[in-house]
Amino acid sequence: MEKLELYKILTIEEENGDKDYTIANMVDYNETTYLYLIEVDKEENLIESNQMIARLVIKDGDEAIEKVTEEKELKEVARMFFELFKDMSEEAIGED
Amino acid sequence: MNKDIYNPRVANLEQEISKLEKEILDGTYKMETTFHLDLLVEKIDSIWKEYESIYNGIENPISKKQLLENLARETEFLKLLASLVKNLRTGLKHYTQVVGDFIEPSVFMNSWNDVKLVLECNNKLRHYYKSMESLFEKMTDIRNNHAILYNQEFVWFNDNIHKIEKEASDAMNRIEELGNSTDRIVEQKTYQQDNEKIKTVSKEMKKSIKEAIPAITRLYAVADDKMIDYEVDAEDFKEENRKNITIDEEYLNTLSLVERMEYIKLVMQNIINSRGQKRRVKYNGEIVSIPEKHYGKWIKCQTKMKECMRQYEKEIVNPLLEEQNEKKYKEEYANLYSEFQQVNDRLLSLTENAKGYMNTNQVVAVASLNKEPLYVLKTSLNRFNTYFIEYKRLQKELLRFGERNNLKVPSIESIENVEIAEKDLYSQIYILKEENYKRAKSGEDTSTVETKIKELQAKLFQMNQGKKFAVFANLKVLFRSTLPAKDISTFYAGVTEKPERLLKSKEYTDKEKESILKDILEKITRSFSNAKGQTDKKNTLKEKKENSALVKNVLLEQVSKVKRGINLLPRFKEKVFKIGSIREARNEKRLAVAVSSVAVVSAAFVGIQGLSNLQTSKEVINTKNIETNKEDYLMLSNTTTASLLKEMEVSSKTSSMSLENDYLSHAETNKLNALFKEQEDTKKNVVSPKEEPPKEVQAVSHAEIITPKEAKELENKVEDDYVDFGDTFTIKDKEIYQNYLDAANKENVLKASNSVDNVRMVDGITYEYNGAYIFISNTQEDAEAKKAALENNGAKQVNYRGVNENGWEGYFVDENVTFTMEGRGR
Repeated sequence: MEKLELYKILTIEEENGDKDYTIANMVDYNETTYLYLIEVDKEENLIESNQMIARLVIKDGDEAIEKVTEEKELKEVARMFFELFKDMSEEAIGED
Repeated sequence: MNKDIYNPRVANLEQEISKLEKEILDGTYKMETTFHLDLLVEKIDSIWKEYESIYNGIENPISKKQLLENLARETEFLKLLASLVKNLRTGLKHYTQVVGDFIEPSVFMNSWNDVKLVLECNNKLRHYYKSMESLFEKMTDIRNNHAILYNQEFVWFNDNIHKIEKEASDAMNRIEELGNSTDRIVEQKTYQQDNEKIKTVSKEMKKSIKEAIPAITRLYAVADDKMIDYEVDAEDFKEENRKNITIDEEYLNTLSLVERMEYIKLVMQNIINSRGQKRRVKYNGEIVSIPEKHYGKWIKCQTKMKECMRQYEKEIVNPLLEEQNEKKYKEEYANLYSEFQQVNDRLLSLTENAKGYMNTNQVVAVASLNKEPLYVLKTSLNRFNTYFIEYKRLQKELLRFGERNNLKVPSIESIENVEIAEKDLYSQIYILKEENYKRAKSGEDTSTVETKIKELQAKLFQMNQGKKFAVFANLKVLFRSTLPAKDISTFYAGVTEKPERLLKSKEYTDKEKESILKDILEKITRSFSNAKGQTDKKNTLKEKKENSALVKNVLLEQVSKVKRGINLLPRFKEKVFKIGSIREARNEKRLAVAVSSVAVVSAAFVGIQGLSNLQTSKEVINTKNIETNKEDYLMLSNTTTASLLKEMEVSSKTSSMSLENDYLSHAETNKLNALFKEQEDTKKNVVSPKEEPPKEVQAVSHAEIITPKEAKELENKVEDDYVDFGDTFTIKDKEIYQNYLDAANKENVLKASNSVDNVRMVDGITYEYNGAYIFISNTQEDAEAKKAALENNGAKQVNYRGVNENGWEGYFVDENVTFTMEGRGR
């Protein structure tokens, strides 16, 4: 699989066309890799209105993402991302 | 052949002139008196007229020119003869006017002989000229093509030229003498009168001679000049001189490189110093003149010199430069590499710190260095990102440096002979653990040994990538025992080793892939328990320990891989979107800052609100009327931490890589600390379980008679109570374990040496809490508090460490122990 790193840009082939997303965060939980994705425009500015949590999958032999919509899974994973972002902000405050 | 030229008239003319010349020179032409002279003059005139008639009759200018060339010799003779004869007749007329009509035969004959002499000399000089021309041609050919022969040929040429030259010189002298021969005629006839007229006769003769043979005079001078050139050439082509301006290949090859260059330089200098018509060439950046004739030799010298210079640069100059550069570059490279290694070490240390927290939500998967994800603690994320950006920069810098300076950059992730080294490490770790166990048993300090174990484990972790081959071999053996066909076992082993290969294959559908992976998982799990059974019964203690470690490490890792593989399969096809491409951001740092400022608030509200759809930070803020101030956000987040901690599922597996006998792992310590903190926060609401049961137990004395029902109730109550440190027990079976994990997993059971009735005391207790095994020793700091925290959260006691009069004995599972009434609830 391609190397996945924070802030890399993924081009996702959606129904309405291709969109670019940046990997805002990543977490490994229950032998699954979850990504926190935020859409970006061509100048790599964030489009806040489009964010999602997805898991990394391989469909028909190709790398893909699957949107997490199941409530229980979403809650658990979202909380983990929350902790991550909280730590990041704490560090940021600490550095200020 | 041109008919205009070679027609009979021309042929006849030519013949007639030749015949006349022959007869005059050999004396057969009758010439005795002035009458015969007059006849000769008429003959010459008629021949001349015929020639002019032919010449004027030719229209073609080319043909005219050809006629002139073909009859050049004849016409020249005729002109000379005509001039001489006419002047002689004129002279003789004057003679008769002076002396009288009668001319003495001797005088006539002498005059006629003078004419013949001039004609002879003319012929000789012409012959001299022709001979010289042919000689010159020959010598030029020799000089150009047979330089080595030139010298010897030139000697012959020189001799011949001089011989002809002498004859011509004699002839010239005689003609000149004749021109100055007034005395002869005057001597014969000593007439005082008209001396002037007699002199005039001689002058006319002299004049006509000189006029008649100007070409010969000119030729003589030209020939003379040419001779100088040929003499110079002869000098140059002499063997001793030729060596100096020609490179001797044989001699050259005997010299060393520097000597060769010196020799070529010398030859070139000799060429410059040679005589001859000059030509300009470049030499050492300056313009010099060399003889034109030696230009070929010069070019050869230049070519040879260039070859030598190239060789000199290659063998002497370049290695020196390279050596100097290499020293300089090696130093620069070493500095760069050291910087890179420092960053690499920092990265690895961050990942090492995360090792103990694997499979918890304390870690996050970040970058991947070798197609394997790296994990760091969430709190180290920012530091990791900084180092990683630096790592990538230095890595590129190193490679570019190596390419620019043609240096070999060593493979940063190269691992050699991992299989042997890894097995060696396993053995070392095992031996150290045995030592550690003995030290702990005898009460000695184990910290140094533990440090060493940790070092080796870290090393093993780093070498983990290389053990694929060993794992694969083990898996093949494993599957062969469970599957009939060799091919399938190989296939399964391959899939287990790298599930992504199967997942990326287009040959199987997602459903088929799922079924394969689940089948593998089931087989591994089954084999795992089979393997346990085998090691228990047949092998020695040492072998059991070794096998246990290997089996555990190998198989559990594969289990994790296969599970991950299964999780990579999509669940809901309509929610799956293909990744077209992955690329790096143009400005990673800017993006990181933007992400941290935006996503923090969004994610917080996702977590808190449990929203299934994410909303923008602005929308949520507007709805909830909460300020976006960072501190406020943190305050908000902190109040939810406690509730979240309560709800947090601590997922843990029994797959911890280390068998740390009596000490908690980092993961376990942290879990415990979290629970301990929880305990402190909600202390007031917690009823200490310690308080109640002892009272109840004390209330009932085993000495009192109680009804069976009451006894049963008491038993149940006792059973519901937690075991304390210092409680005493006996065992039902002689089953004993060496460490708490073995006891928890019921692996590697041994036989107790003491009898079942021997009373042991509880020295340490193993709890099962949410799938994790946590051991608390009596001697640990805050042992009671930690125990209470676990018990208040519903942890189950699964095994106990027992000590007897002999000391520390081992671990006993809960089902195997019978606590004495005296020993409980003291």
